[in-house]
Amino acid sequence: MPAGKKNTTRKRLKKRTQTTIFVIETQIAAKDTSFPDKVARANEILSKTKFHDPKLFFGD
Amino acid sequence: MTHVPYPYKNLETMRYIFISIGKKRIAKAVDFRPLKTNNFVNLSFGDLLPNGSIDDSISSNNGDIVKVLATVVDILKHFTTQHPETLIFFAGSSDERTKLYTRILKTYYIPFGKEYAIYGIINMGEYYETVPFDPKSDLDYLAFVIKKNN
Repeated sequence: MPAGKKNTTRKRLKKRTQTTIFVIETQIAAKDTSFPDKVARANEILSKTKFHDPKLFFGD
Repeated sequence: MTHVPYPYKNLETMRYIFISIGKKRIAKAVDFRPLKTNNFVNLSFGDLLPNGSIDDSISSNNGDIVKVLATVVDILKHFTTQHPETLIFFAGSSDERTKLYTRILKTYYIPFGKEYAIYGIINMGEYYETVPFDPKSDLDYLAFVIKKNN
Protein backbone atom coordinates (compact mmCIF):
# COMPACT_ATOMS: atom_id res chain seq x y z
CA MET A 1 0.00 0.00 0.00
CA PRO A 2 1.45 3.42 -0.89
CA ALA A 3 2.56 5.48 2.11
CA GLY A 4 0.28 8.35 1.14
CA LYS A 5 -2.85 6.17 1.26
CA LYS A 6 -1.93 4.80 4.74
CA ASN A 7 -1.67 8.32 6.08
CA THR A 8 -5.04 9.23 4.63
CA THR A 9 -6.69 6.21 6.27
CA ARG A 10 -5.06 7.01 9.62
CA LYS A 11 -6.25 10.61 9.42
CA ARG A 12 -9.77 9.46 8.58
CA LEU A 13 -9.83 7.05 11.55
CA LYS A 14 -8.46 9.69 13.90
CA LYS A 15 -11.13 12.13 12.81
CA ARG A 16 -13.88 9.53 13.33
CA THR A 17 -12.62 8.72 16.86
CA GLN A 18 -12.57 12.37 17.83
CA THR A 19 -16.14 12.82 16.62
CA THR A 20 -17.33 9.87 18.76
CA ILE A 21 -15.75 11.30 21.92
CA PHE A 22 -17.41 14.65 21.28
CA VAL A 23 -20.88 13.02 21.13
CA ILE A 24 -20.39 11.18 24.46
CA GLU A 25 -19.25 14.36 26.23
CA THR A 26 -22.28 16.22 24.93
CA GLN A 27 -24.61 13.57 26.35
CA ILE A 28 -23.06 13.78 29.82
CA ALA A 29 -23.16 17.56 29.88
CA ALA A 30 -26.81 17.54 28.87
CA LYS A 31 -27.84 15.59 32.01
CA ASP A 32 -29.21 17.96 34.63
CA THR A 33 -27.99 16.97 38.09
CA SER A 34 -29.35 19.97 39.96
CA PHE A 35 -32.60 18.23 40.95
CA PRO A 36 -35.08 20.72 39.44
CA ASP A 37 -38.08 18.71 40.72
CA LYS A 38 -36.85 18.61 44.31
CA VAL A 39 -35.84 22.26 44.26
CA ALA A 40 -39.20 23.28 42.75
CA ARG A 41 -41.07 21.31 45.43
CA ALA A 42 -38.95 22.86 48.18
CA ASN A 43 -39.60 26.35 46.78
CA GLU A 44 -43.32 25.64 46.62
CA ILE A 45 -43.48 24.40 50.22
CA LEU A 46 -41.44 27.32 51.52
CA SER A 47 -43.63 29.82 49.65
CA LYS A 48 -46.55 28.71 51.81
CA THR A 49 -44.69 29.14 55.10
CA LYS A 50 -43.59 32.13 57.13
CA PHE A 51 -40.05 31.30 56.08
CA HIS A 52 -41.00 32.88 52.78
CA ASP A 53 -40.67 36.18 54.60
CA PRO A 54 -37.94 35.63 57.22
CA LYS A 55 -39.00 38.83 59.07
CA LEU A 56 -42.28 37.14 59.93
CA PHE A 57 -40.48 34.18 61.38
CA PHE A 58 -37.34 35.56 62.93
CA GLY A 59 -38.44 39.15 63.49
CA ASP A 60 -36.35 42.17 62.49
CA MET B 1 -24.42 10.59 67.24
CA THR B 2 -21.36 8.68 68.40
CA HIS B 3 -20.91 6.24 65.51
CA VAL B 4 -17.72 6.79 63.52
CA PRO B 5 -18.64 8.35 60.16
CA TYR B 6 -17.19 7.40 56.79
CA PRO B 7 -14.55 9.72 55.37
CA TYR B 8 -16.02 12.01 52.74
CA LYS B 9 -14.87 14.30 49.96
CA ASN B 10 -16.16 17.79 49.31
CA LEU B 11 -15.79 17.74 45.51
CA GLU B 12 -17.71 20.93 44.84
CA THR B 13 -18.82 23.57 47.30
CA MET B 14 -22.31 22.15 47.36
CA ARG B 15 -21.67 18.43 46.92
CA TYR B 16 -20.10 15.78 49.15
CA ILE B 17 -19.52 12.12 48.37
CA PHE B 18 -18.56 9.07 50.41
CA ILE B 19 -18.54 5.29 50.01
CA SER B 20 -20.91 3.14 52.04
CA ILE B 21 -19.16 -0.16 52.76
CA GLY B 22 -21.61 -2.87 53.77
CA LYS B 23 -22.77 -5.85 51.79
CA LYS B 24 -21.73 -3.80 48.75
CA ARG B 25 -19.68 -0.68 48.09
CA ILE B 26 -22.14 2.09 47.25
CA ALA B 27 -21.22 5.68 46.35
CA LYS B 28 -23.41 8.13 48.28
CA ALA B 29 -23.87 11.83 47.73
CA VAL B 30 -25.13 14.73 49.81
CA ASP B 31 -26.05 17.77 47.76
CA PHE B 32 -27.03 21.32 48.77
CA ARG B 33 -28.86 23.50 46.25
CA PRO B 34 -29.86 27.16 46.79
CA LEU B 35 -33.58 27.91 46.98
CA LYS B 36 -35.52 31.06 46.12
CA THR B 37 -35.99 32.02 49.76
CA ASN B 38 -32.97 33.89 51.07
CA ASN B 39 -30.32 31.80 52.83
CA PHE B 40 -32.16 28.54 52.20
CA VAL B 41 -30.67 25.46 50.56
CA ASN B 42 -32.29 22.15 49.74
CA LEU B 43 -30.54 19.03 51.01
CA SER B 44 -30.64 15.94 48.82
CA PHE B 45 -29.14 12.64 49.87
CA GLY B 46 -28.99 9.27 48.18
CA ASP B 47 -27.04 6.92 45.96
CA LEU B 48 -24.74 8.59 43.46
CA LEU B 49 -25.54 7.40 39.93
CA PRO B 50 -23.00 7.15 37.10
CA ASN B 51 -24.54 10.17 35.34
CA GLY B 52 -23.92 12.36 38.39
CA SER B 53 -27.50 12.49 39.62
CA ILE B 54 -28.71 11.21 43.00
CA ASP B 55 -31.33 8.52 43.52
CA ASP B 56 -32.96 9.51 46.80
CA SER B 57 -35.76 6.96 46.59
CA ILE B 58 -33.64 3.82 46.70
CA SER B 59 -33.40 1.63 49.81
CA SER B 60 -29.87 0.26 49.73
CA ASN B 61 -30.22 -2.06 52.77
CA ASN B 62 -26.44 -2.13 52.91
CA GLY B 63 -26.36 -2.95 56.62
CA ASP B 64 -24.61 0.28 57.67
CA ILE B 65 -27.47 2.77 58.08
CA VAL B 66 -26.19 4.12 61.41
CA LYS B 67 -22.76 4.82 59.97
CA VAL B 68 -24.28 6.38 56.84
CA LEU B 69 -26.46 8.69 58.96
CA ALA B 70 -23.47 9.62 61.11
CA THR B 71 -21.66 10.60 57.91
CA VAL B 72 -24.58 12.72 56.68
CA VAL B 73 -24.65 14.51 60.04
CA ASP B 74 -20.88 15.03 59.86
CA ILE B 75 -21.27 16.53 56.39
CA LEU B 76 -24.12 18.71 57.63
CA LYS B 77 -21.88 19.99 60.42
CA HIS B 78 -19.11 20.76 57.94
CA PHE B 79 -21.46 22.58 55.57
CA THR B 80 -23.16 24.62 58.29
CA THR B 81 -19.80 25.56 59.77
CA GLN B 82 -18.76 26.86 56.36
CA HIS B 83 -22.17 28.56 55.91
CA PRO B 84 -23.44 29.31 59.44
CA GLU B 85 -26.31 31.57 58.34
CA THR B 86 -27.75 29.02 55.94
CA LEU B 87 -31.02 27.26 56.67
CA ILE B 88 -31.21 23.68 55.44
CA PHE B 89 -34.50 22.47 54.01
CA PHE B 90 -35.14 18.77 53.51
CA ALA B 91 -38.11 16.54 52.78
CA GLY B 92 -38.40 12.89 51.92
CA SER B 93 -38.97 11.76 48.35
CA SER B 94 -42.20 10.14 49.61
CA ASP B 95 -44.43 10.28 52.71
CA GLU B 96 -42.79 7.09 53.98
CA ARG B 97 -39.33 8.58 53.53
CA THR B 98 -40.36 11.77 55.37
CA LYS B 99 -41.68 9.61 58.22
CA LEU B 100 -38.32 7.84 58.30
CA TYR B 101 -36.61 11.24 58.63
CA THR B 102 -39.02 12.08 61.46
CA ARG B 103 -38.01 8.88 63.31
CA ILE B 104 -34.33 9.65 62.77
CA LEU B 105 -34.75 13.20 64.11
CA LYS B 106 -36.61 11.85 67.14
CA THR B 107 -33.86 9.31 67.82
CA TYR B 108 -31.03 11.83 67.59
CA TYR B 109 -32.91 14.87 68.87
CA ILE B 110 -30.98 15.16 72.15
CA PRO B 111 -27.43 15.46 70.74
CA PHE B 112 -28.52 17.15 67.51
CA GLY B 113 -30.93 19.61 69.14
CA LYS B 114 -28.13 21.14 71.21
CA GLU B 115 -26.32 22.30 68.10
CA TYR B 116 -29.24 22.99 65.77
CA ALA B 117 -32.64 24.63 65.81
CA ILE B 118 -35.01 22.16 64.17
CA TYR B 119 -38.36 23.14 62.66
CA GLY B 120 -41.07 21.00 61.17
CA ILE B 121 -43.47 22.13 58.45
CA ILE B 122 -47.06 20.91 58.74
CA ASN B 123 -49.72 20.98 56.05
CA MET B 124 -52.72 22.95 57.39
CA GLY B 125 -54.66 22.95 54.12
CA GLU B 126 -54.45 26.45 52.66
CA TYR B 127 -51.14 27.22 54.30
CA TYR B 128 -48.23 25.47 55.93
CA GLU B 129 -47.49 25.99 59.60
CA THR B 130 -43.91 26.05 60.83
CA VAL B 131 -43.36 24.75 64.35
CA PRO B 132 -40.35 23.83 66.46
CA PHE B 133 -39.73 20.11 66.03
CA ASP B 134 -41.12 18.17 68.98
CA PRO B 135 -39.66 14.68 69.42
CA LYS B 136 -42.65 13.66 71.58
CA SER B 137 -45.25 14.74 69.06
CA ASP B 138 -47.03 12.45 66.60
CA LEU B 139 -47.50 15.21 64.02
CA ASP B 140 -47.14 14.33 60.35
CA TYR B 141 -44.44 16.64 59.11
CA LEU B 142 -44.22 17.64 55.48
CA ALA B 143 -40.63 18.82 55.59
CA PHE B 144 -37.95 20.06 57.97
CA VAL B 145 -35.74 23.09 58.33
CA ILE B 146 -32.62 23.19 60.45
CA LYS B 147 -30.25 25.97 61.36
CA LYS B 148 -27.02 25.91 63.31
CA ASN B 149 -27.36 27.63 66.68
CA ASN B 150 -25.24 30.75 67.08
